[in-house]
Amino acid sequence: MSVSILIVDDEPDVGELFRQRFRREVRQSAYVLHFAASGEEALTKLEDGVRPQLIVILSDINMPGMDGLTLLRETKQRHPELPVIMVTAYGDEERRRLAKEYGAAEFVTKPVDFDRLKQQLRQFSPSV
Amino acid sequence: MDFTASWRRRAAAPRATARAGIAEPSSLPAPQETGAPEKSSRMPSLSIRARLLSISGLLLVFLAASLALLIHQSARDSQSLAAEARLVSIVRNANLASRHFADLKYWVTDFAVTQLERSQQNADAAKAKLDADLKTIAPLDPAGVAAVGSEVDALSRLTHRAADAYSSDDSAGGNALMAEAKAHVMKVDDEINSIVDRLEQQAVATRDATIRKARRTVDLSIAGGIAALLIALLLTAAIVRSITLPLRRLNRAMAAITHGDLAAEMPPAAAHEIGAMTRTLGMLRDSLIERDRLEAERRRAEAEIRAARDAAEAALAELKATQQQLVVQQKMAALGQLTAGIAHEIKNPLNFINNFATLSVELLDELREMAAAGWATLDVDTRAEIDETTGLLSGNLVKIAEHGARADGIVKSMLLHSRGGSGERQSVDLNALVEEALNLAYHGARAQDQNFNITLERDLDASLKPVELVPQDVTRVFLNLFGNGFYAAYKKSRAAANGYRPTLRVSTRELDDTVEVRVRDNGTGIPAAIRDKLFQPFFTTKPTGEGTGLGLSISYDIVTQQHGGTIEVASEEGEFTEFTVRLPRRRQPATTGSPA
Repeated sequence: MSVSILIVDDEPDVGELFRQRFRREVRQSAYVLHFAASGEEALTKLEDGVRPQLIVILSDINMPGMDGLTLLRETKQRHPELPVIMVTAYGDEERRRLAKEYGAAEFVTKPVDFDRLKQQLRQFSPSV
Repeated sequence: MDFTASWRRRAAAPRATARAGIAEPSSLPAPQETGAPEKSSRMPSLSIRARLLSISGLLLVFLAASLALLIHQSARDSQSLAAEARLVSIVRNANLASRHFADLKYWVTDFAVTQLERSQQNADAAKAKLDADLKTIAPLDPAGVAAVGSEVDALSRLTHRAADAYSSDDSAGGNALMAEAKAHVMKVDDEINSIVDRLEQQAVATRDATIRKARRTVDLSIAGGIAALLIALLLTAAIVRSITLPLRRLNRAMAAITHGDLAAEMPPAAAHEIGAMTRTLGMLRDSLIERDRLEAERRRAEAEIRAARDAAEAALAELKATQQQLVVQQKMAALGQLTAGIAHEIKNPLNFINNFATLSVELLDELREMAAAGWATLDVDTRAEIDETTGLLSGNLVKIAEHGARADGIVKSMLLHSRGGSGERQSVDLNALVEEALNLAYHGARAQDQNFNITLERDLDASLKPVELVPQDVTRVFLNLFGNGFYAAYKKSRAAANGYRPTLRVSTRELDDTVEVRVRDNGTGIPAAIRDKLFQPFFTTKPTGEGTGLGLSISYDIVTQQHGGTIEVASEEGEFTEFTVRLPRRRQPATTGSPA
């Protein structure tokens, strides 16, 4: 039984990177990856409904238009139970604090340690 | 003597009065001279001329008085002498009377016997002489003279009667009368002798009195002379003293003023001539004091102007220094921000490079696994060619990952510039922190190079109180400074002669509101030309790959921006380098900091 992960980043190559990093998991149908290039797009996708079941959102913070922290707040308002992991190149205290305050599940700094990320994801879908 | 006494009283007049008297002619206020100025008329003072005239007058009066006394005495003595002379002549008359009586006695006796006319005449002549003598004696001894006169008369009568008897040849009667007459003769002789005796006694008494008087006069004259001499001497001494004493005082005051002692005691300014000189000297002194005061005022004004100018110059210099520091700080801050900004921009693409390189290595391995089935179908040359190509490919990917990792390290260092304020400030024992950083740096350097060694000297101030700082960041600063010191000392030890002993010395010191850490190495030193670039990002003297050129730049930011301290460098090429870090005990706005 596969589950969905929504990755939000304005960098197009981030999608390619995640696809390659998660190629085995995708091949084994453990995860289905969804991508959004902005906060707005991510929210639209959430509204439309993500299939199969969405277990986590990975969102960049610095994005044109709606940024990651706003997306975090919006998401938490609509789906308080949905975990959101913030991924950013700026690991400063202020962002860390805000992310925590808005209810982020994790705070991951770039470059992403994918092995660690995969472990963290397992806690949201123990079946994988 | 009364005069001297009054003069002495004047001499002892209160000083304030005298001083006020001196200060009077000058318009200057004399603060030390209190009390209303008293006119010298209240203490009349004789002028020196008056004093000399008065002493001369007095001496003249003395002289005249003693002269008058002497004249008076002499007159009295001469009278006594005249009286004495008269007495002496009377005594001679008395003696003459005795002789004339002897003549008379002879001639009356002769007449009585001879009854010669001539004898009668001689007897009368002798009697006349005797009478004349007695007449001169009479005023002095009237009783004696009277007695002599009556006896002589009796004698005359008896001798005349005897003559009558003898002429009548009554020799018996004549003899009897003559015998009677003889008794009178003896009485007259006795009387005259006693007269002479008395007169002589009187003359002796008179002479003795005269001698006594004369002696007394002499004594009196001597006593008077001595007294006059003494008085004259005393008066002269007093007057001379009354002149020389103020003169000496004036002289002392003049000498003192000549030698510059303007506070010298001034003699009292009396009304006499010396007083006038004193007042003149007082005026001179006042003008000298005024001159000195003006001079001192001028000097003070000059000193004030100089001080003000120095203060202004110092302020300007400080302003310039501060301005330069601010400019440097701004430049450093801008460079830091730029560095951090660049790092951010590079970081994302670099992440992709590293990620895709790592992925590509994995994919290449997967490709080999996948191609393993069909591998045997290929001929040897093709296999060799594919092997070589995939080998190169994976080698390239390793190189990309390697250099990517290196770039990532640089980017991480660069990003530290924007990390300001991220750490927590804590109250820290700086000595312990320094010690820990020193151990870390030492073991780090040993790990990199087995041959590395250095003498560590610690001079840590035990009285150091805790300091508020961000421990990780300050540790980073010291790691940088120690690392640089090790590098410079080790570099020199590889080039230097055997005697060289690389040494790094760390000292801490408690200042007022600041703690100071000095890090000194005896390494290669820093050329003066590059000293002002030390704290710029990416400035390094190390070979490529050994240093990023960010260590001191970040240290500078941490010390000045984050902690409001200063970091300075002193160095002599080939001798030493010393970094001095000063951290305020508590956080304060970053205003100072001077890269040398």
